[in-house]
Amino acid sequence: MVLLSMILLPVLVAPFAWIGEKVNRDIPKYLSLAVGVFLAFCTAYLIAKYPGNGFAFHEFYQIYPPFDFNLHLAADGISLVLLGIVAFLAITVTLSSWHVERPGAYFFLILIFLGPMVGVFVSLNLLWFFIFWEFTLVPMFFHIGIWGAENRIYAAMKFFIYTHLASVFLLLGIIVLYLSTHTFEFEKLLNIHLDPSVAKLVWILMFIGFAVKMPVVPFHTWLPDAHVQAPSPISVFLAGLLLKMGAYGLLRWEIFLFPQTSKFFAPLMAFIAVLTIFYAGFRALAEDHIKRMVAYSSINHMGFVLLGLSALTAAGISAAVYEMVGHALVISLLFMIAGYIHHKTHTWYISELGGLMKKIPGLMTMFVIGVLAAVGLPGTAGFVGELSVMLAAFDYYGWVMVIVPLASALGAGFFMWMLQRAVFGPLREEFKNLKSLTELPLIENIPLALYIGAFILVGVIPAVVFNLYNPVVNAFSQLFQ
Amino acid sequence: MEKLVWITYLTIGIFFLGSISAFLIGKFTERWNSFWVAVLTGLIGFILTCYIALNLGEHPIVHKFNWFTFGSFKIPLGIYVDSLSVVMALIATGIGFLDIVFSKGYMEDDESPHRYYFEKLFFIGSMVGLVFVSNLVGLYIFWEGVGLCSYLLIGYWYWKRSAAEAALKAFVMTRFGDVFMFAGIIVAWVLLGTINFQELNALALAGAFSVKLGLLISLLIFIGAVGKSAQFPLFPWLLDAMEGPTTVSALIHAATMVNAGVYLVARMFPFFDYSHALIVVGFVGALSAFIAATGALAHTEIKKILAFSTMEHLALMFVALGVGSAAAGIFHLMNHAIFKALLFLAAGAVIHMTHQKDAFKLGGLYKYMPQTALLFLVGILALAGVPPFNGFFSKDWIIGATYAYGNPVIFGLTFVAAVLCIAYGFRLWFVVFTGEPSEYSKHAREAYPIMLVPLYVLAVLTVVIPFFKEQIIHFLFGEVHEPFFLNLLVATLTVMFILFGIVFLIYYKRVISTVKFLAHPLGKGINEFLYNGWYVDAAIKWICRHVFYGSIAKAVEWVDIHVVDGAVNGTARLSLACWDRCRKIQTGDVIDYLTYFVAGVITLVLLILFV
Repeated sequence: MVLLSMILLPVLVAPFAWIGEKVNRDIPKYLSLAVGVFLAFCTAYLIAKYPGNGFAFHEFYQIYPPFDFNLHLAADGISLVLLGIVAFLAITVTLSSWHVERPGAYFFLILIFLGPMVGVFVSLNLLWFFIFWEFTLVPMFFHIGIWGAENRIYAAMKFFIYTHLASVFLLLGIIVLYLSTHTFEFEKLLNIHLDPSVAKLVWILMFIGFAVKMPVVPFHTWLPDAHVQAPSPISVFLAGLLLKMGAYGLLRWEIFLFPQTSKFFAPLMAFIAVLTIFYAGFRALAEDHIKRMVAYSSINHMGFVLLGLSALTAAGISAAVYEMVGHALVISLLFMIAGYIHHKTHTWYISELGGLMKKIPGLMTMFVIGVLAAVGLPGTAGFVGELSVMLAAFDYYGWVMVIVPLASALGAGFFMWMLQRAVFGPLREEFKNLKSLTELPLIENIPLALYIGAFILVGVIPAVVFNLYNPVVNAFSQLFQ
Repeated sequence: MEKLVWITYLTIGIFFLGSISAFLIGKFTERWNSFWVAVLTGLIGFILTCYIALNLGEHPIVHKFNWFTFGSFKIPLGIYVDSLSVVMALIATGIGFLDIVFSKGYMEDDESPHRYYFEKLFFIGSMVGLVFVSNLVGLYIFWEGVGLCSYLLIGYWYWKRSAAEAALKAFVMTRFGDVFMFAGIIVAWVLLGTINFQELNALALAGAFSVKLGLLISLLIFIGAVGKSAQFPLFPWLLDAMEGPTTVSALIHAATMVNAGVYLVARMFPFFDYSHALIVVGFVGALSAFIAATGALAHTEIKKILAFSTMEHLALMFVALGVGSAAAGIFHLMNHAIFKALLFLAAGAVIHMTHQKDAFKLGGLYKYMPQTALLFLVGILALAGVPPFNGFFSKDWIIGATYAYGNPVIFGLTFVAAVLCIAYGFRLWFVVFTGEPSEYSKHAREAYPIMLVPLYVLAVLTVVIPFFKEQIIHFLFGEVHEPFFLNLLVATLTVMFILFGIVFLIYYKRVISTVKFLAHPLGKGINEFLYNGWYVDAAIKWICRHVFYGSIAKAVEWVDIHVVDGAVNGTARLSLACWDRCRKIQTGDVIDYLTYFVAGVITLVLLILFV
């Protein structure tokens, strides 16, 4: 019942947030915070009870057996890690949105987003997976469209249509798969050997769906627009959770299900990954818009995730999942602070910033720490992620992958250059008497401190993440032999 | 043994603990309390290192644990402390401690000493960690740690544009070297199966892998060392690093961090030797030494002359390693750390009292700061390699070893660079301390006692070290044969004496003038070429600005906006256009619809009949 309650409770609480606003403006955010804490407790409980290997906590609810359309929930180590991110970000995003306008509708949308989000990561029925997947789109669409910046309608539309179109490919793949296997069940699908050409067709169709969501080059252009227009806390959900769905889907429903076909397409994935890493890196270097730059660096990191996944070994998959965690924590911090910088200085452009450290040292120190984590400084999650992905990729592909470390010099280039221009140097004249340029209130600092604490913790003791799913990944990696 | 392992970890840990306490105590109580925390931490750290040094027996201190596991990879970390590590740690903690004390005077006007001491202690901790760890990943972790502190301390006065730019350059340029090293580590790990220094060296001694592979790994790792130790072509960051406080330059950019590259090559010496990579190390070193020594001769800022000089001496260490004499290299590393810290701190005293960095705007300072002047002179003598100061013993050894090695290019460049020390050293000293006092000099007064005491300690060391040369070398390397050529020694000293004479006539007696030479276009060109370090900085800047940013990044941006996103928006426009066309069919006229219907039926019938 735990998994089902994690999906249903946020959705059931959501209307009360909307109605509650009329009674007291504070009710919605406290409800959202309570749900976040609830999710965190549930995740902690599941992790404590997890036997260490395989799927656990099976829940089976018959819906319509003739079509094999049943709600089958279960979690393994990988799901648990991602549930941890969901719960963590639910709490931090709520705290970051403490003073949001129209809190009723805002937190209503957050809550109805969280339920399906949990569902995506624990559903073992492919059709339900797809339903949850699609349901996450709607709240995001409204968040961007209502609380977004100037160009929000364009961004929301682009985001919705683009990712929805990708879902059509995913759905097509699911239909073809069902027609040839007559099941949606993960565990049944595992034991069915598809005809190789059908498998390839299914693989490609589903891959398009997942690749758009991750996103990878050349399916990435919806993301910078969405991020730039979205309010920062929603950017955190976008980068921290929505993108992870793509990577998770690719791992769970393609790599684990079709190991041989994945092996066939592995070089393609690796090529796209390396292309994404360098393309996004150079694109970020040319970018003057600070949040757009962070968005491209996010794409760059997702390239590392895909690179890890494309190395079809236990090491590669473990590394990719770790990189997902690291990416969620680091990029969330950067998106939040990029948003605050805009909020306080009223400009997005690096060339119009300068010397912010002098005026708001507390916030900027956190920004510097976040940037250092993003460029892979040891002691943070960024380093462990890069190290493990590159090791796994070199181990699998050999000498071609020796160029990948160069990307981290590129990362250092655009990030540190941005710091030099925006954060350090002399304070700009027009900021000297700017009233809005002040430190954050305590409540908004808490999430930022939590991100920093978390990515340092998993950076110094990576075993807390890896040990959760090492046996799972090792077991699945037998499939690739 | 167990106890020493524990103490080694404590020595690394105490600095990180101290750095955080210094920050918190300084932030929440009186700011300068952080100084006392720093002094205490530095002292305890130094005592612990001495304890390790005294109790280090025949066997190194070894400990290993598993950091984390993923897939088939187990990431080990651990410590390996032998005499080389201990000497490096003694330099880091000893000079670090003196530097902390000196900073009390130098940073007296500073607003945030807690930030300063936090970063400083964090640096010393990382440096100690760097020399104590047993494998490449551990080394890389601390390697980035010292790089981070270097970045933060160069940019300590971050509100100055020049400081922010210098910090950026230092970070990116060393990071550029580091990623090659990172690649080298990954290659070594996957293909050789280990990253432990001792195991790598053992594999090399056993000839367990091909020389070609070894060479590749060595060179990748060496590029990292080149970046960190400011060798050609990744050296311009070191000159800009002089934007930081002089105490930072003394500790990080002269005495300790920049030695990390030399240490790494020394640590992997058998590996480099087996892979035939040492010749590359030698050539890079010799070329860098020549560029740096001539650059120091042309520059006019006190700190930049010293920075060029640091680069030169690091290059000499690389040359020593390159020609196969690790003992000479490490002995010089130690001597250089002492006399260069002395020089930088003395320069710091001068700059602090005069607020002027340009040597040629000073002059006659001897009258106002006699103790500093004499201490500076001791540093110059050691730097120049004048007997009986410590620099002489190691530098002469390097010249001898290079001569014995027999490569004329390496020997020629090294020899010229080595003898030029006396020229730029005394040029600097004469210009700053003798002659007519300038406006800046007149307001100067002697440095505070708290600044002079560390200088005296270092000055005494430059004289004392030579007496213990045999013991030190024995402690480090056991029995080592030092090549000795009397003719070469005489020649070296003669050339040095002649050079001293010329400098004496130009800058002290001022009977020869360089004005004419510098006025001539050719002379001016040569001077500027050397002053700017062969325009390597400009070349790197040009590549970054015009190739990476201007060409590649801008091209990707164009493609992204116009091609990739253009296609996306084009699809939207296309579907709009289709809709626009199609809706015109809906005229609302029944006759039209009837026509479509009949046409459709006829088409279908024809299709069914004929296809």
